[in-house]
Amino acid sequence: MLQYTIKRLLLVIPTFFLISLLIFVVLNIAPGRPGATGGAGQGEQQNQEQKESYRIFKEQFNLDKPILINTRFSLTRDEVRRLIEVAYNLDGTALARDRIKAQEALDDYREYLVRHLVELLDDPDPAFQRLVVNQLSVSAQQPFRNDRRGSEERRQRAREENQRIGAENLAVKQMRLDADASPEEIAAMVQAWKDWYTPDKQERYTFTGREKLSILLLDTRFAKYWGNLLYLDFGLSTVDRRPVLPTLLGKIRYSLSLTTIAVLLAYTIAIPIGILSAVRQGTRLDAIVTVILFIMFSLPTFFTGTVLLKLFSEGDPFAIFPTGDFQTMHSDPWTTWQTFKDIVWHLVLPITTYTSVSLAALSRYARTGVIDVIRSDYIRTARAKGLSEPAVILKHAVRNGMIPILTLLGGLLPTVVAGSVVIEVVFNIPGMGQYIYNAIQLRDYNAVMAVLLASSFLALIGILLSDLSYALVDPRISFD
Amino acid sequence: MADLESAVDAPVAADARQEDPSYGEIVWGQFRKRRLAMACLYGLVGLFLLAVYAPVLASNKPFIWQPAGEPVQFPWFISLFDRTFFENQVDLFFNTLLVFGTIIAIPVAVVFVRTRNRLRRPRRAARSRALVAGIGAFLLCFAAVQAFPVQKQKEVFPRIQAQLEAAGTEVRAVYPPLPYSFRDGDIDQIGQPISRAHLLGTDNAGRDVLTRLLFGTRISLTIGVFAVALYITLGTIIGSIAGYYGGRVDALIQRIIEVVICVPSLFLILTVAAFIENRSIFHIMVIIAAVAWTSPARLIRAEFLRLRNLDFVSAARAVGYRERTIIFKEILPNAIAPVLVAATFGVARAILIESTMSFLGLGDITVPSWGQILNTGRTTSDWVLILAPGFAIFVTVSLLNLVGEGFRDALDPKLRK
Amino acid sequence: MTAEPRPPVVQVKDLVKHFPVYKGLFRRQVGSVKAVDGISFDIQGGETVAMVGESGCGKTTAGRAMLRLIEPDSGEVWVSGRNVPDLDRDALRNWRQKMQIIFQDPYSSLNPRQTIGQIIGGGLLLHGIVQTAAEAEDRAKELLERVGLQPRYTSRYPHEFSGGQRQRIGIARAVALNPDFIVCDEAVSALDVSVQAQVINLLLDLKDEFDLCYLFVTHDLSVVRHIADHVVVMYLGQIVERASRADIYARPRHPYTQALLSAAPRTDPHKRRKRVILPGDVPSPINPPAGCRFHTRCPLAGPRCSAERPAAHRIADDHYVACHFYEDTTDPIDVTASSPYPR
Repeated sequence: MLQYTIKRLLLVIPTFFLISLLIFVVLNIAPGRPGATGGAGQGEQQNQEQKESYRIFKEQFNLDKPILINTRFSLTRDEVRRLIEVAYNLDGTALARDRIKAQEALDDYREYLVRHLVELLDDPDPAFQRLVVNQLSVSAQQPFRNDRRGSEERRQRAREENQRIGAENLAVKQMRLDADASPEEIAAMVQAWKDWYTPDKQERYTFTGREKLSILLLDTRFAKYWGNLLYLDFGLSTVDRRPVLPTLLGKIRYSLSLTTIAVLLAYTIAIPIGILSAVRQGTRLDAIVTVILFIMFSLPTFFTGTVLLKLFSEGDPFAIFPTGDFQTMHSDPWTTWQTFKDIVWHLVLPITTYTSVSLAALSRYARTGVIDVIRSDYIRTARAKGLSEPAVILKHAVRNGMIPILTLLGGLLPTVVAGSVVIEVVFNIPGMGQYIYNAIQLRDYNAVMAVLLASSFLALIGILLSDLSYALVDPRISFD
Repeated sequence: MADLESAVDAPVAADARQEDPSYGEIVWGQFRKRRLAMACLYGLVGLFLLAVYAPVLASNKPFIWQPAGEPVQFPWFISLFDRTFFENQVDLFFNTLLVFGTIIAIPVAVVFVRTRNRLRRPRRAARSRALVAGIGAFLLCFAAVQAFPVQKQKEVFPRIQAQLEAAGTEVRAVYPPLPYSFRDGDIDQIGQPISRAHLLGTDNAGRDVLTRLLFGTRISLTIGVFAVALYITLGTIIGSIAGYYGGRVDALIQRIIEVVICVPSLFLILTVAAFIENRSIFHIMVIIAAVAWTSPARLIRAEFLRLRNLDFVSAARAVGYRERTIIFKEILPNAIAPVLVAATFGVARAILIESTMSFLGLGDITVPSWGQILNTGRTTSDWVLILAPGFAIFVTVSLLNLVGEGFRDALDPKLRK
Repeated sequence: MTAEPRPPVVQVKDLVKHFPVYKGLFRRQVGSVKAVDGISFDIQGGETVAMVGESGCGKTTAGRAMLRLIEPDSGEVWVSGRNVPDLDRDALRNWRQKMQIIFQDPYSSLNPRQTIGQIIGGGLLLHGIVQTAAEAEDRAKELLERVGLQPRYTSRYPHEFSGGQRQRIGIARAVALNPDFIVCDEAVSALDVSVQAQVINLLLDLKDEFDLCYLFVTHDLSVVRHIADHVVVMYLGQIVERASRADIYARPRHPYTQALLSAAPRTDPHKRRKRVILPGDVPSPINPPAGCRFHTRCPLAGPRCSAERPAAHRIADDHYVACHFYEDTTDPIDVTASSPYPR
């Protein structure tokens, strides 16, 4: 048993890694661009400033990096030349689509271009030289360090480093040429860049075999994401540019208070109903309960929610409960009791909806659990030895029949924390479900990723817990 | 002693004239004895027929159209395969069923009735031949319909009729009972309450709600059936391979399944759906399938683990069958029953997922899905628009669940009637 | 039953099958079950070799490994002139026609979803013995009749038959391909005694009719006495003695064989014999005893036995015994080699 537990715990790590890989790849290959701020779009029409801000945006979210594997160190000079030719349509044949793609590639390749660009400075054509110079002034800018994590000292160091990088970048940024630059200006600037390319820069922009290996796997979106994840850094929201995690944690309490009450309520109602209809199997009572539960089971959540909302809060015919939200906005200070009452008042309808949906499934589970046990031989034995019927049912049947339904609890963990999209949207509760719903629609990748990852992790733990608890309560299961 | 053996020689199900029931026939016999499940099955058949014959009940194209002094036209019939009117492949598919399916069904039905009292082998062969031929013919028709020339029937017939009659021209026109389009609204009829003309009123774009519900049946059934067929196929193949080969292959597949199970499916479905531009119901089916294949895979795997050690598998290997044959022809027929039961419930679940997606505005916005109608009802706070689609979903899901339960009980030898 | 000498149809040389045992967190291999550990014997055409031993001695594994239903680890199995472990996948599938198997459990050995016609006729179509489904059906009908069932049963399903009938169907499936060699894996052990006799007689008749040879894997010595020409005695994955039936019953030389035979029920209650009771249990096949595997329970065991594995000594024509003391083992049992069954 101990060995089994350890084994399962160890397996959580690779499984979680694979889950993150799956989610990451799905989100990253999905079409559509994150960040409504501009977008790369038509390269030539964008002004410099827009372009710059989009580039920084991409850098910030690592979107300039390849998803899983980075082979950019193997670029050749000729490929770079070709990219420039296509991006600026030098031979006049490139299609608009290809030009945008090439422009984007030039933006994204950054430090991997520098070495080749410096070599391309020797081109005899001044017009081409000018393009190379301008590309260099973009590509030679260095990315900033992450100063959001680690110890205060570490963050301080990162900030200082970033100041230095910022100064260097500013200098590099100014080493560019306008479209009407004279050949002399161009020659001067070319020389300036050659002077800039000092041996220590040469070293920085040529890659050894070891560096290549680490670039191949580590200079990628996925690796960077995981690098942050190890510090529990889920990145910034592309919508409000604030870290995702605190926002997320702030949302959990709404979902949690709704779902815990609902699940507890569902269990407390479902188990007696299930037992009752199992014990009275085949009677009219059982039939009625079964039919009602079946109806509840077949009603979609969003339908129940909408109907309840309309019936009891939109004044059609009743307006007893508030039409949504978690609590009332108010300016005067409330006592704890007032706040509590207010929240409960808001939660009555969502909890009813949630409970009615899970109730049906749970009590059917409870019913079959007890029925399976009642049929077994040891119950017959218990009856035969003269135990009273309630004793048989409560002591033997219920105890064993509840095993499956209780082990289900572990599996509910992710639902409890993540809440329900539908209910939170219908009742406008600002929990996790609504958060991911909004994030999905705004294409807030980091937020979506964080919610998916967090709830997958909880699901993983939930499955583990329910397997282990099953093994604990049921001595028949062995793991050798 | 020899007498003893020949005494038990007669098979258990003795009567020689009677047919030897195959497993499928036994299950069907059991199913038929469950009245509620049978009634629900008839209900589902009715729902399917409603979906197929929806244009007969509701269309704004007249069956017959003849302004005085002009030749007779049949706009309704022409519209059936008109890709500018029925833009969706789903509708084209059902319209093909409506026209050609009906025609093909007749000879197939004749074969079935004729072979009712025949002896087993020729009967079964004849029936399966007829069925295969019918399906083949239908698929050919569906392919042919794709090549049907596009018609330009932009006119709104009821309005033209009114204009013509106002100008004094007699028009002979026969409309379906609900002369409305499920797609194009009438701006003069926005938000109408229940009336004789609009039995369930109209929505905020002036479209007849009953008509939309009717065509929504097509969407729901298609999504349910095709998504489930897709993921059952996928899950069955993967589960068979995992269960048959075991060992490393199994461990790998198990890991993949565990990964997919852990990702909360509704979140993932909604996310992927939102990231697809111009999503159609085909995307939705694929997304549902991509998330749901794990449950049949697990069921099949468990069955295979049980079955692969039985001697008949060794016997098949000893005879020399290929592994592919052993997996799919020897073991699979013994393992598939629980999956088929799960599939029935799966159709209900897929319909629920699709309507949830539509309700949240992440479905195919071009089709009259029930969830979408309900969402309209929520935003416009209109009782009819909430209750009618909700009821439609509830009935469909209930029918499927009850049929599934009947099917499951029919498979359970402990519950034989 | 002495026919003119023919080359052996089946030759087994040093067949080995070990099942790995994994344990612990990382499923390391900690050992292996030595189910079959280097066995060799021949089967002549038209002959029945019985393989006997306690349950768990590896006899079923041996039978299945010979047909590569379980992949053997090493060794040679020559069937009708080809070495089965060497065959590639396609060649093996073709060669399967030459070697068939009849299973112990008549309930799990027939596919419940196939008709009897499909079960018997499938292999015929597969190996090109017949060309059309109709021919396969006809042939299946003939075979059903031959094994004593009604030909019209081809359209029925296995669940409609009794155990004995099912076993007949299994036999029909095996002989349908017209093989040279059939492994009967406890083929009658699951049947009632009355039905057992009939099935055994059917097998013997078919052997002559189809010119077959059998490897009859069984733990039932009364069956062995009735059907076998030669007997191979296994203990913990190895052969301890092989000899003709008459020799085995009349002059068993290995102490284990002697113990085994003395435990068999006898047909004549008046004959008394000395029962050899073996001390202890069968050791684990994961860690079999060194030297002679039997030495932990052998009444004759000496120091040599735990050190040195005994070779197979030839003590008579066709009589081999793997015991260091083969010269000391005398015949303790008075055995009449008569069969309990009328033929």
